[in-house]
Amino acid sequence: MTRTATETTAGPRRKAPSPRLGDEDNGKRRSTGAPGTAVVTKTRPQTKRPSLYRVLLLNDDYTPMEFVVHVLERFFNKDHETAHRIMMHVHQHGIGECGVFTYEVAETKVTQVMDFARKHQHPLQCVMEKK
Amino acid sequence: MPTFSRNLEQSLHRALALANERHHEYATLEHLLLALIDDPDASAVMKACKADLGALKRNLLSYIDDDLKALVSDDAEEARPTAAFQRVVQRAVIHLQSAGRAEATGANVLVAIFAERESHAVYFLQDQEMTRYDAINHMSDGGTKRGGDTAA
Repeated sequence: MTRTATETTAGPRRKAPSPRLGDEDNGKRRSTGAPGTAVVTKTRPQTKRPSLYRVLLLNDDYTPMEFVVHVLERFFNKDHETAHRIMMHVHQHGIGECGVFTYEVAETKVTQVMDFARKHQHPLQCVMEKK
Repeated sequence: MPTFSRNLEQSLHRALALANERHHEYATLEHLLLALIDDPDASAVMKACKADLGALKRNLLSYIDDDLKALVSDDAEEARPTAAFQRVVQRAVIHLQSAGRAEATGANVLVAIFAERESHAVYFLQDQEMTRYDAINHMSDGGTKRGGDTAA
């Protein structure tokens, strides 16, 4: 359940086999650096700002256009004109973007749209994708 | 099933109120965490983990007011908890049930937040150099199990 801290963002930095080595190791390592110097490597837990996610609608051959427009107005606060434009984009290109949100909000929107479509028995697919 | 402690019940209400007063369509984990700062059980754990609650509050407020602007909706509907919000509360309750406890506190909910991925609430806690491990360590010291005030 806990995430591993291995995915650091820092890229190929200096290799520190195990940060904060105890004193017992100092004798062996002193030969490499200047005497009496020590490198303090403090391991901070990864604090990367979370990514944003796109919420996308996918085209299918059964969901009515009006339903897609309605979904865009209802769940994504689009005015009718914008909703229609996005719907046409989905229709013509197979996919269309409804908005960009945090993971938490995107996930909730996807769940709401999928539940709503299922309730009305339309096979509309709504997915999220890392930005 | 474990029940919510009185404090936790008030904190959950406060989280929803924080979203409602901003006309946000959802109550997110950040609203929840902001409410938990004023929860005696949760804040005792955060303090024990040496989190700077003032800075945490400022970060959360600026995130909620600036970055969550997209959640402002005109229809006067009640803010509803996000899927993650519901999951966190559920996780805390299920955990306590298996631990054989009768009551869930804000501290248990705080611990449950850490399991969420890509969450800004978790990010702000990490920014205070606080981990789930710190939190559960401080909780097993006693303190919160007996009601909060005795925590070091």
